[in-house]
Amino acid sequence: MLLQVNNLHAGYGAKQVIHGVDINVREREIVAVLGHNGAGKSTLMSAIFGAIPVVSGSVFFAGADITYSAPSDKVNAGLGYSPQGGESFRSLSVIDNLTLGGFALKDQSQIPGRIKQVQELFPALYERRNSRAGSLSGGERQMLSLGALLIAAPRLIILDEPSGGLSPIMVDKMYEAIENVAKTLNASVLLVEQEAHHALEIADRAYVLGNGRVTFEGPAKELAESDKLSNLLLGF
Amino acid sequence: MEYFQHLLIMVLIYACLTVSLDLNIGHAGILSFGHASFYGIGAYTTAILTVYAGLDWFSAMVLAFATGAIIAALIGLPTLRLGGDYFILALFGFSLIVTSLIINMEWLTNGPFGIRGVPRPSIGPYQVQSGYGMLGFIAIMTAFIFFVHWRFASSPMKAALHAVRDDESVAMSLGINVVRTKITVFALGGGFAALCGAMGAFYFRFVSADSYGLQTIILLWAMLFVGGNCSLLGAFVGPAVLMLFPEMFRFIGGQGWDIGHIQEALYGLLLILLMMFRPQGLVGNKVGLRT
Repeated sequence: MLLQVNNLHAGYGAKQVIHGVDINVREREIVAVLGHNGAGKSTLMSAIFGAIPVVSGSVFFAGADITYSAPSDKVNAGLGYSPQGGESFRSLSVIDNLTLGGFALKDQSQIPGRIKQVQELFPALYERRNSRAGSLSGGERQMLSLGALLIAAPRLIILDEPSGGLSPIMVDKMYEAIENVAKTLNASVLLVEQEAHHALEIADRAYVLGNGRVTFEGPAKELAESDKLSNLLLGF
Repeated sequence: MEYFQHLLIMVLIYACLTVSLDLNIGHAGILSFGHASFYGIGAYTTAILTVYAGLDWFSAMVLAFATGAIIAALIGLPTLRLGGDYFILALFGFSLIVTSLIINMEWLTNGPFGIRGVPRPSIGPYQVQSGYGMLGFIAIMTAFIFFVHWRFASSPMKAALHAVRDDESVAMSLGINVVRTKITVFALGGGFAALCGAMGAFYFRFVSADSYGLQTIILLWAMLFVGGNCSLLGAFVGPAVLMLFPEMFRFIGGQGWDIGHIQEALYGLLLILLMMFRPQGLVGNKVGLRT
């Protein structure tokens, strides 16, 4: 098991949002987390990465307890996290954005090779390497932010709403890219989506969150074909 | 000539203050309203250590830098976690406290009378006298401060700092320690502002509380935004324009004109026009601006 989240409780100050969630991700698996607005999807992802404090429970990654380790240690362990609405750094060049993806790496000498690898995956990031990220299109910026994550060679990529703010055509491309990246790099993906259709198409398994608890867990296909899907997503 | 020497020295001191404020505002997005206080803390530290404690000028200057940096780090520790507008208010409160402490801690600061008789710097047997010697001293200090900022602007640290400025949560997700980065850069800004305070104390040989209050903060912000963010040249241009522009009015107009009021009105007009037509500053970088 690559990621194992046990009985996690988390929230913001006195307001608890996640009430005892258990989820796990295996090697080379794509897992979708769905749920209604305010179900706690993003909170769960932040808590797994440690962007917000965990109240109780634990997060194990590749066998090690990382519940309270520093973000830089998590990056080095192979955990990549793209927060909701998180994007590229607009004032920096494409190449600087990619280089920062390896900021926390203990072995900085690997960065140039990895940048080359990412630019092969996304040729646009090579062509526009010296442009400011702010001058890229929304879709290109999303690719750049995904590309920057890959510089640290993550074994698990956590994506919080990768389709956020993108046009339907770009959403298709983004999902193609995620599937492609997972395959090429042998990485697992844990992704959060508001819109279930695309996520269930590429996912192996899915969880549905409702009011901070897991309300469904199973193969993505089963959930996609289930007539209870819309009820689950609405939180009933 | 002395008049021009004075103007040049003032432009250089303010250029150093502006470039250190730019480190906070331009590069890190830390909207510091405490910069004038660190400037004052540096000036008072220098005056107290040389006049009362009899310390040599160089040690006093180094200690002024350290004091500014340490106080900035201590203030930054709780306040840098606040959101932008709350941080501005918190630092505004801090600057009020500093001014009030300087005026009321008479046993240390001589209260509203200020401290006189700060010695001139000396190197070996050579004592820097007023005029060219002082201009040379300030120019060397300016060169040093700009060199440090230039080295910073061409180091990998800059990208990490801009990342924190652009998007804190993404920077954190890449393993950048956001709070520590902000505290470090805020402490450096405070240290350099204090160093400017030491330079000012050596030049004026006198420190007093009213030089480091609200007016100075606003002047420094204006200098930074007139010159432009994230630009070493801008840090010169801003102070040069805002120091020399009002001086020009001394030579125009006839007798009996109320020069003071016209001067301030034109000065205000210049600021308004500049922000309307060139919000990135005269030589600044458009992308350095926060939107």
